[in-house]
Amino acid sequence: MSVSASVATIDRQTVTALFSSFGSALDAHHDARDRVIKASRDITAASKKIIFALQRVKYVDAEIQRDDPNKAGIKLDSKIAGDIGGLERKITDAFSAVKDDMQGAGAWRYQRQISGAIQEYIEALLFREYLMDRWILSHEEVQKLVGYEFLVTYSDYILGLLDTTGELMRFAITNLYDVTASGVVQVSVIAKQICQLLRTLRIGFSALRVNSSSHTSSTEFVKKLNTLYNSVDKVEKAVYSLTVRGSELPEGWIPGDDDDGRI
Amino acid sequence: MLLISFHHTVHAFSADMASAMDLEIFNKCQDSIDRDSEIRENIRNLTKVIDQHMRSILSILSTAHSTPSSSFPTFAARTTKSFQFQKEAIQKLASLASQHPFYKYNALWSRTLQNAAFAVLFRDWLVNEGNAYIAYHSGSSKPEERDEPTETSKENDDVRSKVGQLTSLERVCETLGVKPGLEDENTFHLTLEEYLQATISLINELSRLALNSVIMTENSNYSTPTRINYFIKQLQAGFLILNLKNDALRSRVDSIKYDVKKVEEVIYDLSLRGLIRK
Repeated sequence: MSVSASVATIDRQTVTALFSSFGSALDAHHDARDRVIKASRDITAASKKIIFALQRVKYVDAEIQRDDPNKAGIKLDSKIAGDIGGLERKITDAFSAVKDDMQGAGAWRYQRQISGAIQEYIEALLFREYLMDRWILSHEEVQKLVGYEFLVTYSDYILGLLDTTGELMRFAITNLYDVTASGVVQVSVIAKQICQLLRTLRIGFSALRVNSSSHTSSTEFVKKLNTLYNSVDKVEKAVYSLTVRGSELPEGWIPGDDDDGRI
Repeated sequence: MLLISFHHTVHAFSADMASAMDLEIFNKCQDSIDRDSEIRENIRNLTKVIDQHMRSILSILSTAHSTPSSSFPTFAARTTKSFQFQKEAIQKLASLASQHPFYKYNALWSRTLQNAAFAVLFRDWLVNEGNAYIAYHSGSSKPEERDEPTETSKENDDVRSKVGQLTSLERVCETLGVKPGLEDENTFHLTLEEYLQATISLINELSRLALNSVIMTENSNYSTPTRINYFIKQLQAGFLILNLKNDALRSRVDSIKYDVKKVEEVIYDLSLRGLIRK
């Protein structure tokens, strides 16, 4: 067998030894990548469940009064809070499992594999935090929550934020109705606030210049931006409907669970 | 009313939006995108220069397909200057790339480095083959490149005469002026996968050379295609040791069998006509 530092004589023995060592290096890489993919699936699944749990919140029941009526937040009931807590633990565990793989060069080497999961997790975080505190977490705040061992790219943050707008739209429409003490049906505060927020995000993001040479995948961004336009349209339409026809509702009418959502 | 400057225009956001989100996020986002685009543009420009030198080198080395094996070392030596220029260009790329995490922009130069590595492998193979051919057919004893103790039996001479050499990852890196990277690193290096891809490119090139060397052969000495046959088969066996996933490397490894087949047909044609001993 002959392998100097410069050349490998290509006979059976040398080739076997050489490619065996290559194989070990490749195996280590593939194993790490597979672990990241698995963790990514777990994080994505748990994040989606958190979002579903939050969508089940009935805003009028969950609302708590705070000093500033503009900042009124919600308190999650113990069942939903417990479910979300369990799911968060699953996410933390999944992240821990790949902590070592995502260090150093691994952070960018496996970025593509974890990107989707990070976006989904960001969506869950942003959605929950908005409902609780009426605040959209900044990129820095999200990075801190995820933990500094895991890279949260600008691209993942933006795409996650755009996905959150879809969830906010759904929440606004589900929680569109508010009934005053005197029995008047009107648009809820939360729906109005979400509508305004979505409009702001739409203005801001539509002005963004994304070209194909940047890391933020421009096609994905454009697609999600279009979804945002649609979300804004849906919320505005719902708010309009209720505003215009709210006075036409029979006295004492309250939105019930058997409603198909339309007036 | 809050006025935020964005894209050299001023956008008016309602004041209560500031309590719902950090309105600076749009500017920060655009800055991030712009910085990233600039870096990518710079890297692309540097890879273009490296590619140009690589093309010069390959056009010289391609004359192998129309010259006899004994001339290989001569014209291979003419690539030295281009390799030097290429090395300098790669240094520039390395300086820029080292300022960022390795895998963030790796895809932008991977193919370029891969081709540059192939050029080294091909050049070295041609030099070695040329020297081996000259030594073998001049009637002298074994070529000097062989390090291991040599046997004296004629049979072993025949076997060993079939054996070629593949430049190591470390040596390729040295020639290119790059660090080798068998371990996972964040500094600029040639990856194992890039080296393996370059090796497969060499196999592709050699299967074509096997064909053409039959035409160019002097005095009916067909040692070059014979050596290529053995060389490619050994490498194929090596690649089969690897556990591959369904990725780009896997499909290229699968294509090696066509090169093997092509060279086998050449050998078959020659041995059928009694032109070489089997």
